[in-house]
Amino acid sequence: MKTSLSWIEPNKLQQLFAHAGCATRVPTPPVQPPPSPIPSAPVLSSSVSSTISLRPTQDSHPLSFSDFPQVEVSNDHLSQPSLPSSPTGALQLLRPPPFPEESRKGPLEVVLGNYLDWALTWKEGRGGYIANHEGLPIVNNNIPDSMIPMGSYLTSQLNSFREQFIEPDIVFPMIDQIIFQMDAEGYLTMTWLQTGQGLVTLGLWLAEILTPHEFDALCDPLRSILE
Amino acid sequence: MKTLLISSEKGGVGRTTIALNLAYALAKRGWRTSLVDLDPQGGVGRLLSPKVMQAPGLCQYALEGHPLPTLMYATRLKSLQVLPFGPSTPQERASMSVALGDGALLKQLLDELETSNDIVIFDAPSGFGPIVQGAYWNVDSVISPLRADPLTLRGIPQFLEQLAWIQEQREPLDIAGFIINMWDIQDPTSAEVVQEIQQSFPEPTLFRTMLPLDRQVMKAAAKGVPLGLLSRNLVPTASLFDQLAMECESKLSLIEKEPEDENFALVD
Repeated sequence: MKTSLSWIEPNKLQQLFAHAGCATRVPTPPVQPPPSPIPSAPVLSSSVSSTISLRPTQDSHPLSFSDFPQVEVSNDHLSQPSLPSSPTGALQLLRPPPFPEESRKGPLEVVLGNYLDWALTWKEGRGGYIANHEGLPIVNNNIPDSMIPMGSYLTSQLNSFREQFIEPDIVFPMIDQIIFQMDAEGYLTMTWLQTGQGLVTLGLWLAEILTPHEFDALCDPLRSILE
Repeated sequence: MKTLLISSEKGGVGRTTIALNLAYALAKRGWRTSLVDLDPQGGVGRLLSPKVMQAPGLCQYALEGHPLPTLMYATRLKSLQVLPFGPSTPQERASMSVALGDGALLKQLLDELETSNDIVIFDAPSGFGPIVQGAYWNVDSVISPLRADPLTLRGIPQFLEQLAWIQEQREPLDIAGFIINMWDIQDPTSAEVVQEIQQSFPEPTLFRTMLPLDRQVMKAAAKGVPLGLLSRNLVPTASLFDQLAMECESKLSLIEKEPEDENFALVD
C-alpha cells in the first residue's frame, strides 16, 4: 500500500521527531548468525506468522514480525542454562524443549496456561524473568517459592475477563483470534478479540529480549494445537 | 505536582475520551487528579452530563474572576475533580483566546492547584490556537493521541513542526508520547497504519498501550461515565486505561508515597 507517511522522506521525518523533542529511533543492528555447533541446525523460517488463529476470519489482518532480522536457531538447549554469547558476541539462540503431549489437553484456558508455563519455564532456565508492564518481575528466579506461574497468571486474567461478560455463561469460544506481538525491547502484547467485548490486550514485559524466531519457536506448539 | 497536556493537531482523535479516562484511572490509583477542560466546545462537560456542561468553570475563572475552589467540580471519586470550560458566548470564547494565550493565567491556575493535586491534566482543543499555546508554555509533558487512520498520520509532520516551534520558545518540553487510539482490528487499513506508526515513530515516544476501537467507549459516553464506571464488572478497555495510567506514572515520574501508617495491613 502507499503508506501514509511515505509522503515525507524518512530522514526528514526523523529530523522532525528530533526537533520536536522526541527521542529518535535507534536502528536495531542486524543480528549476525552465530557459528553453529551443529551443522544441521534447523533454521526457522522468518515467514512463520506470529498470529495464532483459533477461528480465522477473512477480515483479520494481524501484524507480523516481518521486519525483524533473521537469525539461526540451534538445537543445543538443555545443556545450557543461560543465554550464551558466541565468540563474536552474537546471541546464540536456543530451541525450546518439546511441549508435553499431556499439556495439550483440556479447555483452551488450561492449554494456554500450560503452554505459557512451559514456555516461561524454558525462558527462566535461561536466566530470564517475566515482568509486568512496570518492569517488575512477576516470576522471580531468586525466590522460587514465591513464583507465580505465568500460565496461571494468564489464566486468571482470562477468567477475570470472562467473568466480566454480560452473559456469564459464555465461555471461551468467544475468542476469535489471539495476536501475539513483541517489540524489540521484549514487550509482549497478547491481543484477542472477544465477542461482545471488542479487543482485549494483555501486555507483559519479557525482561530479556526474546527474538522473534525464539518467540515463533515458542508459538509453534500452540499453533499446532489450535489449527 | 505534574502537569500533562493532551493535545493533537487533528480533531476527532479521542483526546477528551483519553483525558477523562486517564484522569479517572490515575485518580483511582490514588493520585489527586484535576482534569481541566481547555476546549471552548466543552468536551469534558459534554462527555459527563448537562449539569457539568452548564456549571461555571475555566471561562468564569478567567473572565469573571470567580474563585477557583468554587469552580472545581467534585466527582464520585474523592481524588478526582474536574474544571469544566463553563458556559460561554461566542464573544467570551474569543476573549478566552486572548486571556489564556500568553500562559500567565494558566500559570496562576496551576499555582492555585499546586498544593492539592498530584497531577493536572489539560484537555486541549485540536490544533495550536492561542489557548493551546498558553497551555504549552506551562505544562511539563504532552501526550498526543494518534487515531489509527491514514489522515491522522499525514498530519504528523505538521504537528511535529509545531512541537519544534514550542521547544524553541521554552524550556525543554517532555514529549511523554503518542497513544495509538481507535485501532480497528477488523479493518486492514487501520492495522497497516498501526504497523507504520510502530515502524516510523521513535520507540520511546510510543505508548505501549494501544486503545482499540471499542463500542463500549460510545456506550460510556452515552451514559456520561468513564469506562471504569460503565458497569460493576470492569470492561476490558477500562483495564487498558489502568495500564495506560501506569505507563504515565512511569513516564511522568509520579513517585508513590509510602503508606503513612507503618502498620498498614490487610487484616488486624
